[in-house]
Formats: sequence, C-alpha cells, structure tokens
Amino acid sequence: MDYLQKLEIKVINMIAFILDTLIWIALYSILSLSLSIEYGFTGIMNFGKALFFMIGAYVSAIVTLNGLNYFIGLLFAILFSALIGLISSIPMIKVREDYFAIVTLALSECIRIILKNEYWIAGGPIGLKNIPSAFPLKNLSYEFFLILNLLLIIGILLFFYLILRMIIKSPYGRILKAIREDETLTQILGKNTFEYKIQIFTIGSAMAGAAGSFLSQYIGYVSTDLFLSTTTFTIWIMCIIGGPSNINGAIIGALFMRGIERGTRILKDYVNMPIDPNNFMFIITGILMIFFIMYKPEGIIKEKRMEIE
Amino acid sequence: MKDILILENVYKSFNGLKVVRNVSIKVKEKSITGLIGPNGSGKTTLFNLISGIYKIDNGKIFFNGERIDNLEPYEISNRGIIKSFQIPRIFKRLTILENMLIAAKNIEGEKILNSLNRNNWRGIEEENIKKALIILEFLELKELKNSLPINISGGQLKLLEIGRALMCNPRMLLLDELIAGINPILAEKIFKKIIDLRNRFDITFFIIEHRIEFLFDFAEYIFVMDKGEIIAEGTPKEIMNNEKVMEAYLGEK
Repeated sequence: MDYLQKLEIKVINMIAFILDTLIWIALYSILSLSLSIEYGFTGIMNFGKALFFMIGAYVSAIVTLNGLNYFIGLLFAILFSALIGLISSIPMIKVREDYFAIVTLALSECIRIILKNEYWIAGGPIGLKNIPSAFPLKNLSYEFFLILNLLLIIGILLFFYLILRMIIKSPYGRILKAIREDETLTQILGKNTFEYKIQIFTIGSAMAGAAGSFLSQYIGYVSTDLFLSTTTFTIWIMCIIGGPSNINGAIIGALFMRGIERGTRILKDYVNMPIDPNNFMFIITGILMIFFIMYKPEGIIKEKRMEIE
Repeated sequence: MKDILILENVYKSFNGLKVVRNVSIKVKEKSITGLIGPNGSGKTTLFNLISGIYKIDNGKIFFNGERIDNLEPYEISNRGIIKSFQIPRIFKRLTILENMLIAAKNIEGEKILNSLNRNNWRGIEEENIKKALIILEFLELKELKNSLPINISGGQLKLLEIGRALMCNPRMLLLDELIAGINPILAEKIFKKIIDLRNRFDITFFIIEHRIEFLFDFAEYIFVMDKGEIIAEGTPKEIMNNEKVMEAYLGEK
C-alpha cells in the first residue's frame, strides 16, 4: 500500500491527519531553515532549493532500494547533496545576487528535466517506487508509523537547528550578516567572502538533501513531479513570511503556511465554501505574500541583535 | 623614512575612457599624505585600484616592498591597507559594535568548525569587544554601541568608518573625502584625532579631500591629480604656490 492509498483510507482519522500535518511542517521547516541561513543570513538568492531536495530524495531512494539501511541512505543523501552544492556553487558564487537566482533556478530545472527524460538514471517520468520505509516493522499500526516518522524528522530538524544556532551566534555568523549587507565592504575588511558563501551554500544543500531523503522513505516513491520549481517558491514564501533573518522565523513560516494549506483542506468539511479549497489556499497565500513584502518585510519574527552592557 | 606605498606607471581605463594615466607616486611611511584634484580627476578610482576593488590595466603597485596589484581585496586588506568610502559604507542592519567587530581579526571564531564551540572563540571575542569599546570611546561613540547606524549622524558615520578601520590593525588608511559635509569644528577634531592616531600607532594616512584648507593645515605632503594624471606634488606650501594646480582648480588665466 503506498502513501496516498493509506491516507485515503485513513482520511477520516483525525489523529493521523494531525500527525501527518506535523510531519510535513517539520519537513518543510528543514527546507525553510536551510533557505534562511542562505538568504536571510548570507544574502544568497538560492532559487534551486528543489534541486537539492530532489537529489537527496533520489540518492536515498536508490541506496535503500539496493537493500541498505535507511540511515545509510540518509547519510549518502546528505553527503551527495552537499557535494553537488559545493561543486555547483564554485562557478556560480561570484555572480551577482539576482543573476545567481536565475542561474540556480535554471540549473534546478535542467537537472529535473534530464532526470524526467532519461529512463536509465532513475526511472524517468515514472520515478522510483516501493522505497522501503525507515521503519520496516510488520504489523505496525498507521498511527504508530506516523509517530516514528515524526520523531525521525524532528530529530533531523533539531540536529540542523542546533548547528545553525551555534553558527549564527558566533563571529562566523556575524560575517555572514556582513556579507548580506555589503559583500565588497566585507572583502575590504579582510574576509574571503567567497569561501563563506560556498560553505553556507553547501550546508544549505546538505539540509535540503536530508529533507529529501526523509520524504522518499515516508511516502515510498519519488518522481520528478514532486520537485517542480513551485516547491522552491513555497519554501521562499515560508521563509519570507516567517522572518528570513531568524531561524525560529523559518520554522514559524513553515508552520504557518502548512497550517493554511491543511486548514483550508479540512475547512471544506465544516464550512460551505463557494470556491475550491485549493484555490482558496492560493488566494490566501498570495494576499499574505503581498502584505508581508509591503508592510512587514522582516517577517513574523524579527532578526535578533547583539546587545552588550 | 622609507616609502610604504609605491605606484609605478599605473593605468586604468573604463570602456576606452582613460581614468588613470601613468600615475607614479610614493607615499612615505607614517606620513599624512593628501590627494587633491577637481571632480572626475580619478582620485577615487586610484584608491579603488590600490585596495584591489578594480584591477589595474598596466603598471605596478607595491606595498611594503611586496607587489599587491594582482591580489584580491581581502588579501590586500589583510596586508594592512584599509579603505574608507566617499559615502560611508556601513553594515546597515548590524549595530555599531557589530560593525566594529566585523573588522576585527578573530581568526578562530570565523572558521566554520570553530564556530560550533563557544570555547574556541569566546576569549578572543571578549578581547575584541574590549578593544572596540576603547576605540569607540576615543571616537566618542561609546554610548551608541547598541544602536543601529541609521540612528547616528553623518559625521559619526565617518568616525565609525575610521574606528572600524582601526579594528583591522591597519598599517595604512586610505580615507576618501573624510570630512565632506561635516561642520568645520568636527572636521578639525577629526584631523586632530588622525594626527593623534598616527603618533600613537604609526599608521600611514593617505587622504582624498576637497576642502584643501584642512589638508594644507594637517598634511605633510600632497599629490595633485587632474584628468587622470599627477600634475604636481610637494609640501602644502609648494602646492599652494604652484600655478598648474591653480589652473586645474580655477581654470586657465
């Protein structure tokens, strides 16, 4: 039974619905967090987030389909996305911010289209199916399966959250903010800004890879249609609304946006809506986005400042 | 005293427009040297060439005996040349103190792996904060340490730029229009602080300034640029009596 069938059977089960929602929130929190360190702290306009999400998902899927344990797959996914992030960022990083956005978006779409059309790499348009779960226990109740997954994804989230918290509080984090404010000036003050940007891009890619890896084992299949550029934009919206320059903001953003998406989906059961709940979600998202960019560009949670006596 | 900065036949053009032409200058160590010239004569470009923001087309630049014209800006900065900007460039969303600390050399905490353990960098960080506070006190900015740069005046921004440069332990400061738009009383105070700094820390100052009267009072040697070339050099007295300079500034007689 794959993920969608299970969810359809259990759709009336409110506990399962809430657990599943929490899992998606945590999953997107990792992605939003990775964009927060790249864009909110360092000013790197990464519009190729879906690419590294996808790489993680595919690598992990291939590893586990070959019979290895999921956690080895997770490790491979993190390392491989980090490696691709590192290699791809070296030629791109000297490009100005706005062009960097275009280049990353193009790269992401190119690789997605190659994967979709080349059957021999990873199943082409069909993708990979029957990916083993991280918890291959028999007679596992659905709720218990969800709880285990929730613990796993929160574990991954917490791991990255704590690392980023240490980074942004250190002098290293201060230089990231300086690069965001004025890269040339940071160079004149003696910092090799390219090195910092490459490191942060690599970390962000590794985080997206970890998220992708979780996704592949949780829903049991991967295909290129899961990683359209809209995925990247969703992550951007979460990051901007939550507060890009605050790591708690990134998580709040994910919570907020997933809440709206899931909320509108169940709202239709209770309220007679004149429009399709899916469209309703897009309308709310669009209005919120405009509102935040115009009136509250710092997001829900503001940037923290260093203060001393 | 030896020459700390030497430019030999430096050329730079943008899209065929020759902005800096055959400039050769020598700046003495621990001196206060001025660079004057009409608008568009290439002074700022020359500073950008020295600090590596632009690459020179032709010629050589030596700092302290080492050739620096092919280095990246951060490498030049790490050799001790720090530049301030005509319009103060400040990290706008960082506090005054953070602005100062960015310039500090905290090698340990600025490496990614060391940043993960506070014990690796806390000691150096505390020393740097102490040093930053001493400099801020000297510049009369200490009370503002936790505020954002948008809340302080233009003159204070200029002071902050000097303070930030001092955090780098510079050997030479390139100051671009240091006192533009600053009232004469504060301007004189700033120049007195510069002389004080030179005497205390042996820093060489190279200053672009349009308000020539200040340079004539405080500088020891002056270069005059016009249309990308050095047209005169000498002590303030020599420059004051130089006809070429007067022509460049006031037009031909």
